[in-house]
Amino acid sequence: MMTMIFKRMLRRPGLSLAGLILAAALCFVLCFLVRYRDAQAAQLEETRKTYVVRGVVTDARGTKSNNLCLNRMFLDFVQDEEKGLWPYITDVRMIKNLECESDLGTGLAVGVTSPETDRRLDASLVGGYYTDKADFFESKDFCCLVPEYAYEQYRGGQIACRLTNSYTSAGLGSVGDNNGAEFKLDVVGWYKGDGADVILSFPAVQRLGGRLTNTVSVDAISFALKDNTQADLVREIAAKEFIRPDPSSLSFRPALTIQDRQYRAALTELEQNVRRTERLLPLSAFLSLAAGFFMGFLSVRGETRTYALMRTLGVGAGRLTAMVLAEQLLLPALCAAAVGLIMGRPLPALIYFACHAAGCFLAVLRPALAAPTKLLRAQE
Amino acid sequence: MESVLTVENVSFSYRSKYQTVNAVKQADCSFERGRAYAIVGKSGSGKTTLLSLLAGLELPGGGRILFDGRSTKEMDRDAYRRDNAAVIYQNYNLFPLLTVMENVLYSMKLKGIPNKEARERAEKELAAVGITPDQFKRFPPQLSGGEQQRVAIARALAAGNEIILADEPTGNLDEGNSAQVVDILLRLAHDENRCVIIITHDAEIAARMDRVYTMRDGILEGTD
Repeated sequence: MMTMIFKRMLRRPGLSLAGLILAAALCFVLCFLVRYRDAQAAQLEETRKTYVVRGVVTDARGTKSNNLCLNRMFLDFVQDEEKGLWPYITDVRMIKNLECESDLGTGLAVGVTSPETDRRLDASLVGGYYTDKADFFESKDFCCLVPEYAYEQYRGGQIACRLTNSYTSAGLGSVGDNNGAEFKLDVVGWYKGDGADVILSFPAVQRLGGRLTNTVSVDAISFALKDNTQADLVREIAAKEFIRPDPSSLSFRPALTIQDRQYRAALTELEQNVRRTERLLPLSAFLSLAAGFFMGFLSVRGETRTYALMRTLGVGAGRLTAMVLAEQLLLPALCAAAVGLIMGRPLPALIYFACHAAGCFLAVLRPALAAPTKLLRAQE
Repeated sequence: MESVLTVENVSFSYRSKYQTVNAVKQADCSFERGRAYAIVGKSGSGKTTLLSLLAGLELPGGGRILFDGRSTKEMDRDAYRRDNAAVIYQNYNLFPLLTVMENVLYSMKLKGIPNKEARERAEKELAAVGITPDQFKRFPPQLSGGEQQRVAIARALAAGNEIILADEPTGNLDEGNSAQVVDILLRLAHDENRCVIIITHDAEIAARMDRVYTMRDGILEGTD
């Protein structure tokens, strides 16, 4: 009997193909919408998790983020685990500069917390460095990186520098002895760049600065938020010590800018997409599923006469139902399986198939249960 | 002769859209193997309804129909139609998407007859009703009305059912084809010992049958 079913399908290729295409299209719409919604939601989640929102300390006008000469109070506030920013921030990058005169010329001794802090070290910004000291950035030892061109000259040796701490308390003049002192720094590597600067670790420069003027200060601070949703909380906490940047401000107090505008814009757009899709999905799903249901229903209804005839020939209700469902559901099942697998969303494809099957099943109840003569008479 | 179908005090009514129709009010008769019967009557007199009852397509509201002593109410009526009673319709009711051969094979496949045997029987019965082998692969719409009706008869014959119920089998045929079909049906009754019951309007055809029953307003009256 199954061969009869295949023969009937093959002998009306237009109808079979049209049914196949329509089923595939409806199934595709459903799977596509679900996949799109999932992709948008995943992207939203991914953005929430991975987008790095940074906070940068600047001058009051928000125009300068380096050479800020921030005193210990600000450094302590940033690093305070109870009342400061420390619990909410990560990847803290700080710079402390000392003036440096060496055989290389007049430049700076730059103390950095990580390679990303200075673009000359950052490989992602076409910088780069080499050091044979594994804990260079954490070490308090007096060792430095020199420009690449000078490395061969100082390799394994020392470079003599006269360092001066230019830190002054805001508007209050020099703090401590500002005449500088001679130091010999171990050369442990190089950085990409030329000029007369040497690069040290941030702790080492703080130690040098302490020796010079018995003070602790920092010239640049930036950090990433641990949790992007806490940007407003961080702003609120930061308001104890930092002001908001204002281009017209004449204040000497530093400002803190949390750079979350792009993050918020990206988030808003994604959230809108997800909301829009979620609004559209139930309607589209309903239409697709209803179309699938009616397609199944009408395809069986169109064959009522044939099925009634089968009943008069002695095909039982159960057998007829099984045959009709096999005949009417074979192509949609293949369609749903193929589309579900290709789109990677088997559940919506399965739901579509279930609706199609429900339509077929409902329609087959009539030829299966009603008296065949009535159906034949009605069809005539 | 032994009675294969017995109709005992049968009545049947159904609900149409607006009213209850008493299609068969009173029917008592019996049908024997090896004989051909005609049921005649005006349109709407209940002939086709009686045929449906005899074929097990409907169940009588009152009375009973017995096939070899068993009531149609108590038997598996699908099996009865498949194995014992074949129905031939005025409008042939062939499967349009199956070839002539496949239409005839269909009822045999339902009975589980092996392919080879089914094909031999189908070829034999199609030849017996005058369908030529070059027509075996044609589809019903490619045949004339007479040819389609003969294929429908072949389908009924090939299944080997002992009761042949024909509802105006010549209604759509010309005179020549009608005569051929009636000849075949009479041959089935007299040569193959089957019970043939024909519903017809045609008095000439009815006259050729062994016994004629008349339906008048739902009541069956018999004449030999």
